[in-house]
Amino acid sequence: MENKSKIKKFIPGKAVTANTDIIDIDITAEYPASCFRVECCFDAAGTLYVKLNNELHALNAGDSLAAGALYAFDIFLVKGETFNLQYSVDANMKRLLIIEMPAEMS
Amino acid sequence: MTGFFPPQGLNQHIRGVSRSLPPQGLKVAAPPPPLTLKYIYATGAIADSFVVIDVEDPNNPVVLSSVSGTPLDNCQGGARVEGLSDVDGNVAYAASLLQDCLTTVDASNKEAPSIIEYISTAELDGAFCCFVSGNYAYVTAYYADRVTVINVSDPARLAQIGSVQDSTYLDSDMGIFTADNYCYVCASAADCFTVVDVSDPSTPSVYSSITATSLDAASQVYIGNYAFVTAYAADTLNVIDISDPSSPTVIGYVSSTTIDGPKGDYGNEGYVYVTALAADSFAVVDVSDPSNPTIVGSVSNTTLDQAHGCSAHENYGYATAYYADTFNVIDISDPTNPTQIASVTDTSLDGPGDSLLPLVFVGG
Repeated sequence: MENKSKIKKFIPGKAVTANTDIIDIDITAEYPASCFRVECCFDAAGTLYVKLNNELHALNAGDSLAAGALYAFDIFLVKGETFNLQYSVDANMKRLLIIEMPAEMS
Repeated sequence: MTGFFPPQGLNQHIRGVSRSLPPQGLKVAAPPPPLTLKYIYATGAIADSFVVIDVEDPNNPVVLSSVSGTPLDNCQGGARVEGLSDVDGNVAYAASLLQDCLTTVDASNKEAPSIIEYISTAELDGAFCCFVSGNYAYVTAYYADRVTVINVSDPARLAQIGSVQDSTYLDSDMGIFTADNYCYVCASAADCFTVVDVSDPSTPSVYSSITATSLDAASQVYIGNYAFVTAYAADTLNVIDISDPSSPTVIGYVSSTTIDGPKGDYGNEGYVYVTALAADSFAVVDVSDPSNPTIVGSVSNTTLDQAHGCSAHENYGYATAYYADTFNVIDISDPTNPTQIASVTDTSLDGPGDSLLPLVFVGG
């Protein structure tokens, strides 16, 4: 894989179900050390979780995301690790953009 | 003095802003004054808005007005319109991804646009982009994998008259451009560029398609002498020969970190302009040799953070930026040195959409 940032997922909008994987197929880290920039916006307040090895970890320090606000998070993984995302409430996701970068670039 | 005037409403073409000449041998009155670009329409995908931007003074663009509402929920972009409607822009069109609808906007009063009507159907599930030509709007649907034809002859009485679905060749379709009885469509999940025959708008059909690695996540298309297609996972601008619509062929492409994550494109005078969301850039691509498109200049900065929508006219390029919530003007008079000259932000521009930015002219 060429050593540069890459858009791994772009979802322009989608209705999401509470506590259900948002991405159809888990995202896999392709660099020895990857930084995933996760950018998202929902139309309802709720808690965003990243699912790693079937364990949920709350983002934003566990605080609810504000409705209609655009957030960006960085998730660091090593090659081969996978992740997905879940939201705590039913909502319309207005955007999901995931960019993978070599960690040394971040 | 007698004179011949071309019938109003005929033979004006927005691409290149040219006018046809009346038949030879007839006396002609003074030529009409040139059209002036006065407004650009944008949308806010997070703000759920339709926005009017006054660009008459390119150094000082002004967010003049906006309208928001449920029928503009997650609106990815206003429609590019072919023909006279684009000149006055009194009726504008927008697709709402989360409300699965096409919406018409009364923009006759540029300081107070208002929603006229919307149509929501199952076939418009994930409505993404639209292109209006004549009496019809052609709408892509990201989740329905469809191109749907809406009769917009009466903006207050929208009617769906035809639709085509193809889970392969229209998979997660995004950008669309219509010309000469064909719709040219980017199917982002299928990495392909698809031609849809709309010669009979009531029975659109997939006519042909091409799939290529350089079309990985194909997203937007502009039609000039060729089709120019961005692909945001391949980081490419593709040049596709559509002289034979039954057999579109990629004849060249350019890939570069300068256009990392390209989302929009627009052609003008031998160049194609590309906005790139991962590179935060607006780039100029020389397409004079279509088999060897070449990036000749670019500009990148924080006000172009996640550059999305794109348009250009004469010496100026225009770009919206999703993360920066901005509308930007770039001086492209020197293609090798595009220079940003202005940027404006507004709450109504929160998360601007990513299709072609409709241009609205006055005069003539």
